[in-house]
Amino acid sequence: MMSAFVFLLSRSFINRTRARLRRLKQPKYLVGAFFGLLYLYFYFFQILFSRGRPGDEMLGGAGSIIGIFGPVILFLLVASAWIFPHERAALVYSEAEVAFLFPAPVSRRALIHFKLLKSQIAILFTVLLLTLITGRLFTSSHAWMRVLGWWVILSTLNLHFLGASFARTMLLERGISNWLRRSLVGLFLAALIALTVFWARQTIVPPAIANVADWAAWREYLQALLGTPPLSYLLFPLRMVLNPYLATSTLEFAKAFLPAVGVIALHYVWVVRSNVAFEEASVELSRRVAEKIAAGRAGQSLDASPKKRSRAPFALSPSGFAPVAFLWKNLISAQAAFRGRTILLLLIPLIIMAAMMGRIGKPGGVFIATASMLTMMCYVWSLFIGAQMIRCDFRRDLAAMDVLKLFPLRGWQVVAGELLAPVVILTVVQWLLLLLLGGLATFGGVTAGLPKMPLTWIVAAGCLTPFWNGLVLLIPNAAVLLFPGWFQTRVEAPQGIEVTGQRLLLLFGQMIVMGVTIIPAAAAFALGFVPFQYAGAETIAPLVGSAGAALVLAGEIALGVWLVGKLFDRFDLAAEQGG
Amino acid sequence: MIEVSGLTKLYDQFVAVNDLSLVVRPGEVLGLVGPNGAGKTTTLRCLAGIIPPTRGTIRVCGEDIATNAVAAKRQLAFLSDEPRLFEYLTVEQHLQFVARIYHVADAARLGRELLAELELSDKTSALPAELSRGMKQKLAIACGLLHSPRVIFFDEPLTGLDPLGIRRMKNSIVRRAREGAAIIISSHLLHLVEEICSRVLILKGGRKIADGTLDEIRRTFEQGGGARLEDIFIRATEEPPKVVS
Repeated sequence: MMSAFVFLLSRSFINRTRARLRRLKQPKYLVGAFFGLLYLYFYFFQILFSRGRPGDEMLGGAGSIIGIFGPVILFLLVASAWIFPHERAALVYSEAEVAFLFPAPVSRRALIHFKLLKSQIAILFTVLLLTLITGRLFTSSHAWMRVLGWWVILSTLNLHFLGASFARTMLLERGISNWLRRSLVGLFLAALIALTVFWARQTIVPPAIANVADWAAWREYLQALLGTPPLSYLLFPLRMVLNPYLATSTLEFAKAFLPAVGVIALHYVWVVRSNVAFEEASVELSRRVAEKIAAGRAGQSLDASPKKRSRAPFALSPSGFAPVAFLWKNLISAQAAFRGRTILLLLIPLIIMAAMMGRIGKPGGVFIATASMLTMMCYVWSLFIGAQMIRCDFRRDLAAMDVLKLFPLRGWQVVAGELLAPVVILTVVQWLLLLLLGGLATFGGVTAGLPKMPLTWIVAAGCLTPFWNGLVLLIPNAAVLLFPGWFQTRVEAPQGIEVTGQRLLLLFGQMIVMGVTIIPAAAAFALGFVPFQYAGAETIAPLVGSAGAALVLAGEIALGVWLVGKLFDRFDLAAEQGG
Repeated sequence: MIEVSGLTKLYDQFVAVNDLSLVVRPGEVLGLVGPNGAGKTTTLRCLAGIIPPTRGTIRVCGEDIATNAVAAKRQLAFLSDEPRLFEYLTVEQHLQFVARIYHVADAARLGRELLAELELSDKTSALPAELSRGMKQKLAIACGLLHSPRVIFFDEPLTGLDPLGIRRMKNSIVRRAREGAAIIISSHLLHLVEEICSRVLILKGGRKIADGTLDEIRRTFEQGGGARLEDIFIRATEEPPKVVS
């Protein structure tokens, strides 16, 4: 049976690699691959190959820290597997694996073996990545020790999580509820901490508070504390797992590796001998994971199946300007991202700031300055990143392009309709920020050091905001129609380094187009602003400038919508899918 | 009325549809059949204006779909086998959205009637994720029929429907044809085509190899009077394609 699994995994890997290489015949993927590799080079290899890099010495210095905190982190990870999960044991398989393997004459143990085999591929990839990130592979003559060290850690954790999920399910089947299990584990941990504290107080003297910066003293204290029974007994197997990673010589590694492999072997026996029914839960979990992957690749929310209905923002009558229907539709879908919990999370910092300001009772205090700066940052940030975050336009509807193409609407109408919702959402959020900024500017006018923010500039910014949004949102929407293959149109959409490169290119392209299109608007602003400013009408100068810029931006948007509409009319999704 | 002349669709070098011409008059139901990869769905997507043809002209109710797409699309509906719905719109909101796009004056009443006909009346506030495969198909059908199209393209219309839904769908197709709609149905269910289609067009490799009433096609392939469409289809598609003008 194992040979069949190896065949499946190896052929899948080979075919996937071949398909990716074949794809490089298309220039868009070849160029993407070039930029993707360039990105990888600068991100990883350039740092690793450069001279004078921090090598083993730096990490060697960190070795003692890892030696102290590593077992504790591992312990917390292991404990979490016994406390937090509440569901029954479920192993994630792909939908095809469920369809082929579950009805096949394959034993439960063989299914676990297949899962472990798959996990090993993921672990090996992660090990490579972690080794690259931690800069060991090319900086140390003992790189292989780090690779094996990471492998031991990840394999042990993987097996432990699996075994714990089986054990939890067995406990449930024996009538021990999740809460009872959590209570017992909690009691055990509390007793452990109490005993350790008690024992430590009797035997170890903590460093004086005055020596709070004396790391050496604290290190000694922590080492002694963690070496105190009964905690030391509990951490012992975890130290065994960590030791190969921390080894500094081949001999030391050999001594550490064998016991670590013993821990892995014990875990393996535990997992394989657990006779727990995981199939039903696995089928459900695999379905959910597949839906999430599909939703993610289609550019939708990861909550693949929306559970809550959203209220319509306004009543949509059958007559009237048709693109408003898109605004209506996309506002409904956007509500999913603005649930009460999200809004509360966004409001919490503002509420805290407001409360602090109220408590201080001094208008113009440091908190007003902070709040102003924060609000300003949010506003500026939203001007550049907002269009990437609010995606309820062609980027979301690309998968439903067949439906959009059916509508008896001109291309520009569909484009205008798709742009409306993100423009409205972004503009409302930004106007609220400007309103807040205006309020804070009024409060904080007396504070030295507060960024000077005259109200006329805030109003001018408010006038320009919707036009700016229209323009910046037009660019990614045009890109969707120009390069649909670079966006995710299908569940089985391509992945890989070339796609990363394509996205980078797209981002640069968008920035260049944005830069070019705002030049005329900036010139119009200057034309309106400068004469009034020099004439001494400083109050209205920004308003006149922004009115001119808004006119130019409106013209650019109108032209853009018309041109993108033409693109939409000629858009041939079938050709993209065929390619 | 559907008039197609010299429709050709290429994907790079691959010819998906090759020089296809056909006419479907009001009240006619044309069955589009052919083996997998024959070009049926591509043909329908071209006729519906979803994808542009490489060559040829398509007229829907006299309007050229290439030059006057908006007027042509107002008259047609395309119902595919895979219902494409908006994940965050409820059943009722889907109909409201479509009503605005097509400017359906009496949308509320028509929507109610359609939902009742398709047994979705109790699902008006359900999201697509809460609907079964068949119900999603019914919702897509309701959206397609809301504006009372004069030309309807069905691509495997019965996929996912239960027996009662299938019977109702068949009756609905026949009724709409009687009311003057021109209909094209692409399906592998040959008994369905035999039952409700007034004419049959067989495609193979993107080419038309037969077009006419069942009797005419029987004669073309030298089949007896009692021959079923299935026998004719197998005979027709096994032979090397001979072009029918």
